[in-house]
Amino acid sequence: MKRYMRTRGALAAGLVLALSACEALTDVNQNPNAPTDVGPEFLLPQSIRSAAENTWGSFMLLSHTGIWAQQTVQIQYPDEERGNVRPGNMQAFWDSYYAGSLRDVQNVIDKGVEDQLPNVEAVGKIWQTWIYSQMTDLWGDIPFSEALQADEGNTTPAYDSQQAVYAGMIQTLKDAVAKLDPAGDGFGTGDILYGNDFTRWARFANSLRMRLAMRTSEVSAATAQAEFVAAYNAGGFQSNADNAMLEWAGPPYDPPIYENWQTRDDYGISRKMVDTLAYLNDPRLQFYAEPATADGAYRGLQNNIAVPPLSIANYSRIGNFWRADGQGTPTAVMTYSEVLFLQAEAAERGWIAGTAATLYENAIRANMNQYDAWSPANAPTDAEINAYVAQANVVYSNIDQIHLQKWISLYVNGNEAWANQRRTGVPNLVFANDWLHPSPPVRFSYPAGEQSLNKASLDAAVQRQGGGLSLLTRVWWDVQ
Amino acid sequence: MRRNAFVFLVLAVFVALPGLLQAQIRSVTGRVTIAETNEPLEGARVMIRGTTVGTYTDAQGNFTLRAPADARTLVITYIGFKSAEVSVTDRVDVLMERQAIALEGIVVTALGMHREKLDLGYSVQDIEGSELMKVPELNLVNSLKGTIAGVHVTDAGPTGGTSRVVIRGSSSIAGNNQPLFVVDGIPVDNAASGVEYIRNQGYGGIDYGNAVQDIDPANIESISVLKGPNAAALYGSRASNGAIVITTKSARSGRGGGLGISASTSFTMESPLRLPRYQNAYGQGVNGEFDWVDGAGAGTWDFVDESWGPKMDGRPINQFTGPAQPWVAHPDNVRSFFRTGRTWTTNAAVSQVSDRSNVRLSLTNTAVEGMAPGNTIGRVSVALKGGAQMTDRLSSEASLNYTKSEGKNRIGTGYDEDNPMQSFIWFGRQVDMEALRNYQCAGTEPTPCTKDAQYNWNYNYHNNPFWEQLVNTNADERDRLLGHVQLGYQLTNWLSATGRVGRDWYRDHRKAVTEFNSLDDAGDGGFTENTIYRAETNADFLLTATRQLTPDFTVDLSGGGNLRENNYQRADMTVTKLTAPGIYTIDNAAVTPSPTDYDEQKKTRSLYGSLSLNYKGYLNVDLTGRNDWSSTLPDGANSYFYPSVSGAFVFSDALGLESNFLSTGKLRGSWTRVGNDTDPYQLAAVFTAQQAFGQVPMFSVPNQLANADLKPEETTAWEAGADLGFFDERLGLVLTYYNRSTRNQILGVQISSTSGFTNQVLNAGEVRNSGLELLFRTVPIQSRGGFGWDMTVNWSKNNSQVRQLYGDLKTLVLGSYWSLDVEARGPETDATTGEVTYHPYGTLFGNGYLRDSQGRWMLDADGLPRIDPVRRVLGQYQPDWLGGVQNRFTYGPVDLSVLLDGQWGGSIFSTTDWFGEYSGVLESTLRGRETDWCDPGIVVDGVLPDGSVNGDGTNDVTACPMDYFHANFGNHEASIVDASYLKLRELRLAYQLPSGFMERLGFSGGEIALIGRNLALWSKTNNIDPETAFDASNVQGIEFGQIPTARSIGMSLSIRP
Repeated sequence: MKRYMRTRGALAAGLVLALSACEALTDVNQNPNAPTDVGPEFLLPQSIRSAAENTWGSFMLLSHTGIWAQQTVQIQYPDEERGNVRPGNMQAFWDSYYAGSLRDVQNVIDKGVEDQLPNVEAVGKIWQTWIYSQMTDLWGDIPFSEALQADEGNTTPAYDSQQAVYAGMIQTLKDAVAKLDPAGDGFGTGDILYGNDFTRWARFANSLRMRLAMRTSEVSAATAQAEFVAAYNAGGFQSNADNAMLEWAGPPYDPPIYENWQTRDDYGISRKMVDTLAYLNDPRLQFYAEPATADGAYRGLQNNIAVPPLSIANYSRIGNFWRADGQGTPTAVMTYSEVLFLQAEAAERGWIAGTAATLYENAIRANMNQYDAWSPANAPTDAEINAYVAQANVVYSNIDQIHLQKWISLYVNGNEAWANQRRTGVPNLVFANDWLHPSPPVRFSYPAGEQSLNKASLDAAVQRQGGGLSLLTRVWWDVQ
Repeated sequence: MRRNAFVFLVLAVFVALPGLLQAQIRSVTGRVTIAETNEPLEGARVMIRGTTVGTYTDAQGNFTLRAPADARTLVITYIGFKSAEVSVTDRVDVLMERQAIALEGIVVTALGMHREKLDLGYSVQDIEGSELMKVPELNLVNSLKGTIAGVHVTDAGPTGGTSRVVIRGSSSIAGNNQPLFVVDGIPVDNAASGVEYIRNQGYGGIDYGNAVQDIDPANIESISVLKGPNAAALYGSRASNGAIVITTKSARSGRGGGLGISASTSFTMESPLRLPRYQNAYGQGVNGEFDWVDGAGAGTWDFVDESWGPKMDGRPINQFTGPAQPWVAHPDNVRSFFRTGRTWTTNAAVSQVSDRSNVRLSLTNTAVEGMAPGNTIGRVSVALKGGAQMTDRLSSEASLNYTKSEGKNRIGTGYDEDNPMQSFIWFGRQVDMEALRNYQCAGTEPTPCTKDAQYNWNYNYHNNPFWEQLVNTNADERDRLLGHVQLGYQLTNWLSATGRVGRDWYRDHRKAVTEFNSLDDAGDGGFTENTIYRAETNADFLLTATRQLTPDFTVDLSGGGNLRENNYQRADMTVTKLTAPGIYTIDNAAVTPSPTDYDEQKKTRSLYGSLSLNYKGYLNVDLTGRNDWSSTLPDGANSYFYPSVSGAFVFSDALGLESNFLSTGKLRGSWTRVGNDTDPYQLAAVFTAQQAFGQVPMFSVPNQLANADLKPEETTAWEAGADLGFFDERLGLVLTYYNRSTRNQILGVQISSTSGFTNQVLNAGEVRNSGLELLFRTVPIQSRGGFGWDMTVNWSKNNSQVRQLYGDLKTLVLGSYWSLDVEARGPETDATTGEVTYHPYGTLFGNGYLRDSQGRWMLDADGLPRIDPVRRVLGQYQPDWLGGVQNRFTYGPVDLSVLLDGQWGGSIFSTTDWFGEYSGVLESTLRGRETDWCDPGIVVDGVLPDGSVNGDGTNDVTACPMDYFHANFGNHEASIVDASYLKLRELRLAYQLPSGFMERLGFSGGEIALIGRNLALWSKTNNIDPETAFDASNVQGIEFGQIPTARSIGMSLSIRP
């Protein structure tokens, strides 16, 4: 018996030795499939691509901001058209910005700081600011100064007031532009917006500053003016060649409206847009819209009704430049035309020198020409443009024309068109018929996830703004 | 790693080096027969008590055993019979008595140990292989339905699809909740990736089935279900959800010791058990209108896929089949899409047993034509198993199982265009399915039907279902090899050693194609190709000592170790646009293909031991311990130990209580703690490669924040029970109460995305499952060649509670569909009373009706129900209880068995209901359009905005049915259905072929049987089969576009050597 016990003991000891000899058990837990570190040139394009897909994707643009700006319309399932918002969508938009595009570009910024690459840091900050500006215009107060810090242990960031976010964004843009070095290192092939042209990045940053400054015109006119003038003097877009145009790469990165056309195609152009263009004899009508297949007429569908009075064959669809022929169509992130409209408004307000009428007319012309490089069929010709701007109801007479023409020119840029409309009240949008709420939509509602995962921070923000869980509470810069 | 298969074969030869010692032995021969009939009992186990020396009886019941000179007692055991003990003499003949309930007998437990049931302190239930073959199932997991207490099996519907099995409830919030499958001591893969989302991200795709269905049921000797971590403590962490231990058949000699030949064949036909109840009064359209021009919007509502159109009264209306066609119903238009399925299974096996060796070869062919058009499944299984007593001390065993599975045109699943059942939810009820059978345009049809394009009833949303099934095809192929080599060495008559190497590997290739002119892409075709490789290698050894210390006291001591390595590789290729139609190669890609590959490796090392003390046969105590070292946990913190203790007390023996009333009485109890590691690569984050943006490569930061300090999960469980036999075992009762808590769960906890991540990996949370299992069997009328009846009832109830999540986290969403969340919801404390409510795992959380304080629906001005913006718990997917009743009647050679099973409680969110009502295709949507499309309309009971009560007859607001059913969009409560059901699971009428006739043919017996499965279904819900699995994951309780379950009827024939 004893002898066998010894045998067993020796066997067990031998085994333990054998096991401890191979210490490298956890060595096989090194993930061979993906890198633990990558350069900023691989993260920036991902951030740009994903933020653009989120902003101009059919869900946000065609089911929310585009229809609430009454540029486009849902012709088959008019749910958001009536204010019936799917909570999952709000969550998806929010998560895609924060955990996707913003997080990716934060890594770009961090790399820029660590490796002392000023252009990398500055471009990262400019792009991140653009994303934050989309978010705050949709949601008002958002986590900004404490955001993106899970790896430092903060998983419940506080919300900054929109006023603070705006101040922060403008400061960030100023700092970033100061850092840019046109001759410095860039992103290799990774800068899919400007191809390492840091002069144009600076103009983009300054143009965005003008947009942000103007946005606050109704709540803090003095600051708005000062910041606008500073940005204007720093130098925004000089021509359409400076436009921030995102050219899509082809499958799986097709332009969102084209992608939607491939499968569903259940959106149209709104009656508001068609009627406005028709009233102004605007040559962009046949460019923005397709004639109804039933009778060849240009006919928009009234927004926010539950059931269209006619079958969809009787309604115009979004123009084929974006839709059927849209595979090569770029997404206009920000354009020279918008900058001219901003300057026209600033001139009208007396903030800058220059003639509002001239800037206004140039803005229209720039808009009508901004897709020339892609030679779309039906785009307005020079003769049409000349005739158009000479019309009595187009010739400049008041500031509302700037806002109306800007709304037209921001077609299929629902976020900006809606934000500008909310600030100016132009055009006058009616939410009646089957709109389910007592008043029009003026914001995105906070996603449900924040209510359970970041409740204290959200509650504070909701209390500060007097709401935010519905579509009906105005953001800070939006005063009636 | 592929070399390993060869390495272990070579290894096996070199390990066999032992010097042999001669011991004094004697030869014992004998015969084992059934007491009641005197028939020989084949396959009975004959062991020398207090040793590991033993053998099995052959087809004639004979055995020969070389016993040590000091051997005193033989123990003879067989499933379903009382164990017998006899003194060792040169010639031993034994009569075995049947028992109604297998309270005694041998079962296979962890590590392949054969244990006497009476000695076990925990619950094990077993099934004989022959039972599995009585009504064969393509997927052996389905054979467990309704027969084993505490086991919940659900299948996803498609032929060859996934079946999910959960024992005693789900305990891991985010991990795998399915048991470990073990074949001949070798753990085998049952990849949870049963549903591969091959063509689409999101819900939908092709269900290629769970991998364990490669195991050929015809080759199974027995299955032991070890129900809890107690039973499985020695298998380690992977068995914390229980283990299903399969023993394959070994060789049996034929008549007169010659070649043993057995064969069986079965043929069944399948048809849909249940389809949704469709309406047949209104066709496609909106507002009672429809007119076809191009099926894409040029006509009046001809693009819509809803049935709110004109009444089908035969009026002429332009349709896809031509102008001014009679507008009539085609009530069978969905049923006629399906065909009668056919399943043909044939098995033949030969075996040879000689004095010192045995070998068995089995071959099974299964050919299935599925109910879906063009769908076929084929499986060929070859099994070779043999053993040799090389010397008196050295024995060996080896097995090799090869399976080839092939599938073609598997039907798509989920809420996706791949799934025809989804397109029938959105459908024109007037559509003539026969007209769609020719799915390709000849070019003579009206536009938009150009030559070679698909011919369809709608060109806006859906493919022609036949096009989807027969043109956009898929094919898959899996080669799998499972084998082991084992050497046993008898060191002394009480100490033996076993070494074993086993390996399971397969390669799975899948390809799904989309043809030009399909609607669900740009119309330019494409394909997806996946190659999956999985392998698991186990090498283990075990030393077993058995010593009868005193005449009353026996000790069994075992110790062993295991090395395990898992490998997983996959390569995926997607092409979204083709140059030429019909050619699905990378060379024909019109866009840059997007390939991805993945490689994963995991290793564990383990040491374990067990001690079993038995006193006088009626008191048994087991202690086990196991320590694992895992590669997936942090270095230095990757070791974890788990102990278990169990005891069994046969009080009827001990206290001499045996009487005519009580024949066996046993109490048992056990306690265990089991650790669990995690998946590879959870400790450090890596960047996620994105498909290149043109030529620009891209990466993104992952959404999950990794955790470098993970600890192992910990499951603590105890159970207690009683096994009682009455009236000479003609009535048996097995009762078990269990309680299991899993803590420190490794979770990807949701965090606010504003932090930059959506999830964070943590050790958190606790889920507790407790419940009761009952197994009752009785033989009211004993079979002695005349009439016999026996009945088995099993029943189980599991209470699941999510006891804790993490911090203030209220819920952890397991999955979400159409904003309906399936979740693990943490406890909620009532603010005023302080009372804590615990939710079960798997709550369904979503939007419901807005109600006033009296519980009445609140309506809008149009008289339509409003949706409560505050979301709430609407149900839970786990059933209240499960049960099954099997009755078996025998009369002479005739044998009739009937199995009924079902569940009570549980909820399902049914999108067939949800969208079927939205689209107006279901029978329930006839409400309010009894006369015409909006006549008489619906007066919804509820409170109008002005406070008046709608439906009380004064100033009632009437809604059109279309508006009423559209108003439920977003309201999940409207389509939460009760999952209770009762199924006639199995019916079998068998006839034993006359033995004289069979003997003339050279066989000992044979049987012919009529068989049926899933013959009838009773349930509270009408449109779906509530016994549905969403996929193999923890996201259950959601149904969408369910593939109809098969009702199967056929016959079988078998012969025995």
